[in-house]
Amino acid sequence: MRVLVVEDDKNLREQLSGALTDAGYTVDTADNGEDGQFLGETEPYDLAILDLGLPKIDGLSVLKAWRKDGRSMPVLILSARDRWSEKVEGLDLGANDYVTKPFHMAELLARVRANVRRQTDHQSSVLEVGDLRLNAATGQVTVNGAPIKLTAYQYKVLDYLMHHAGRIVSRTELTEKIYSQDHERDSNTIEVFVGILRRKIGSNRILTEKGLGYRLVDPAEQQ
Amino acid sequence: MSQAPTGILGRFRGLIRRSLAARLVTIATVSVLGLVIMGWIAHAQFNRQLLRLLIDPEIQSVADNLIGNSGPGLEGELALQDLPYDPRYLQPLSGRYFQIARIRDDGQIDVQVISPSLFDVTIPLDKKIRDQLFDPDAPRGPRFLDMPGPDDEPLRVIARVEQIPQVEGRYLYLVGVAPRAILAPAANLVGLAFAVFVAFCALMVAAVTLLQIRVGLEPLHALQRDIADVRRGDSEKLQGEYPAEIQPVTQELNALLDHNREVVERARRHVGNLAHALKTPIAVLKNAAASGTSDDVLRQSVDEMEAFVERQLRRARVAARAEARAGAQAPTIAYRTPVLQNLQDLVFMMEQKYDHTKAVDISIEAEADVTFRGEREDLLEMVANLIDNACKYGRSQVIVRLLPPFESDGMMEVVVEDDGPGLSEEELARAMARGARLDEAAPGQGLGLSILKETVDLYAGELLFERGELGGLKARLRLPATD
Repeated sequence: MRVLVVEDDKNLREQLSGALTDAGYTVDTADNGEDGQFLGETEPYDLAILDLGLPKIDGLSVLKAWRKDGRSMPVLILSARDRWSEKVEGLDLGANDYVTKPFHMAELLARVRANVRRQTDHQSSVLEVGDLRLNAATGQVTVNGAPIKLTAYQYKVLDYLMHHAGRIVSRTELTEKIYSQDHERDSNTIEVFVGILRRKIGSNRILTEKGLGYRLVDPAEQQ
Repeated sequence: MSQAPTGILGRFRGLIRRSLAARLVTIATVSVLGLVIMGWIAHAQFNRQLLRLLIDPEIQSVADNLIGNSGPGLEGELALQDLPYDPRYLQPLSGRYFQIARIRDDGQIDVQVISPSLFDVTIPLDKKIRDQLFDPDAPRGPRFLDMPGPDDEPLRVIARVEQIPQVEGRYLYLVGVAPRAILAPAANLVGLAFAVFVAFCALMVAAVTLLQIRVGLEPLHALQRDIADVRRGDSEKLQGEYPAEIQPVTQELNALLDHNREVVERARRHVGNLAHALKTPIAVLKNAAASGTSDDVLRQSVDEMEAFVERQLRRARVAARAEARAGAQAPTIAYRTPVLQNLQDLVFMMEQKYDHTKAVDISIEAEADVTFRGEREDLLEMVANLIDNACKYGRSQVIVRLLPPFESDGMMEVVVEDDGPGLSEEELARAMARGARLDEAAPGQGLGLSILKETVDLYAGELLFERGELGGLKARLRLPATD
């Protein structure tokens, strides 16, 4: 999987590049906004790590240009500034996640893992259950055409449930699939994610099968 | 001032130094006093000239008449054949007198004839006048004199030294009129007029001074109000139109304000740049520390550096916002921020933030949107802090509740509740009592409330902590809302 790192500090760029390479990613780097923007527009990346304070062109402008150009790879913003309003702005511009300097490399890698292109193991890039629709190519989820904002893990849970729509999926199964690469997670976090998803897409779409697990259904068909 | 002024003069000097009004009053008083004195002198001068014009011809003609009526008496002495026809020379002490005296060889005089009006006194002649009059070399002819008469009353006098045919010796003829005799009827009137004039002047001084203080010093009051506006943050610089005399002061003040703002701005930028510049190397250090031999001391130092930089930056930000608000043309009131959409954005941010570490279900409960009377950035900082804390300390559930303003005080409320361990009674009391300084004790460990509190104070809002229904901490942020 290819990851682009745009960061002007040499030491940090090398640390990022080293850690990502060790984790098995193919890494390209750029030390300014102009080169970064060019690489992002011309090469197919699975994820980009973008510093905001860049020479030549600032990070937010690069992100804006990519999105305008139709590049939809997940973008993880890296910034020394940590005003909440700036983060919200970055996410509004189409960033997928936001990491504030200084950060733990392990945390960054976890986020990269959670955000790398989500459709890798699916043939079809669009899943549909009733009017619930998941576009794996863009990572967009809509209910009846209205976009739903999901975090990477929320997306993964929904993706797995939709992929096995109508079937009962146990908590253990979900936990293993979602957190396979991460450290051990408490299985009741799945409960929390399902709760959040129910609130976001409608509570009647994910049924609880007592003692067994969850089942994603099309409420229109349940009538 | 090195020492307190003493005495009336010293105190007066002190007053002059301290009070512009006292200066103005003093200047006005002195100039009017000068005017009154000048007027008095001019008036006196005019009176004297007028009197001479009135008196001199009269006494001259009376003297002529007396001389013409002089002749030898029965024993060869001087005698008047007829008295002057003017009856006023006959009434005692009427103010009109004449006196005829023989001049002795030793320069003394023997009074021969006096006007009946002199009754039984004579007009005294001191030596100096006698010498002047009787000097053989002195030019002949009538002499006019101002001299004291009976009872030292001032007199206008004509003096003539004559020899009368068939009478032996030289004779001094004096005819005098007291100005009183002419002015008596008018004297009271003139005095009254002058008193009225002085009173009028005093009133004018008072009025003019008041006007000067009110009108003349008004620009100073305006300046004071303008400066107060700047200090309160209602305006950025001194705006008013000022008289040319004050304009340089206001220009200097404005320049000083600009300079000040610049210095503060530069210092703040400097701190900001410094702190931001530190962040990347800290990130590098942190990664190096994590990857190498897990050195606790190094890691701890890096964490402390990080917490310090964070604190400084947040502090600078609050100050910058306060400053920006102070400098802004539009008051805080002008900002209107819809709350609900921002809450939704924030909640999604938090879901992202905790996505990989912790599953937290953050739900929003709001019946209707509310508009915050303030800036979006401030709202985000305040609420984000509370939600962030709730996510950090909560187990898996956070509720964000938006309550519309009560009609009575116009304060909306954002309630953030978590299902974490919450604060003990003691900690709750401490958070409430001391402006929420829980985080000061343990850097990076606490709730980050002191900075949040500063922002809340900017809006005259309120931050309350209670034990929530979920078992954890319940923070109530009360902020001004628009109607």
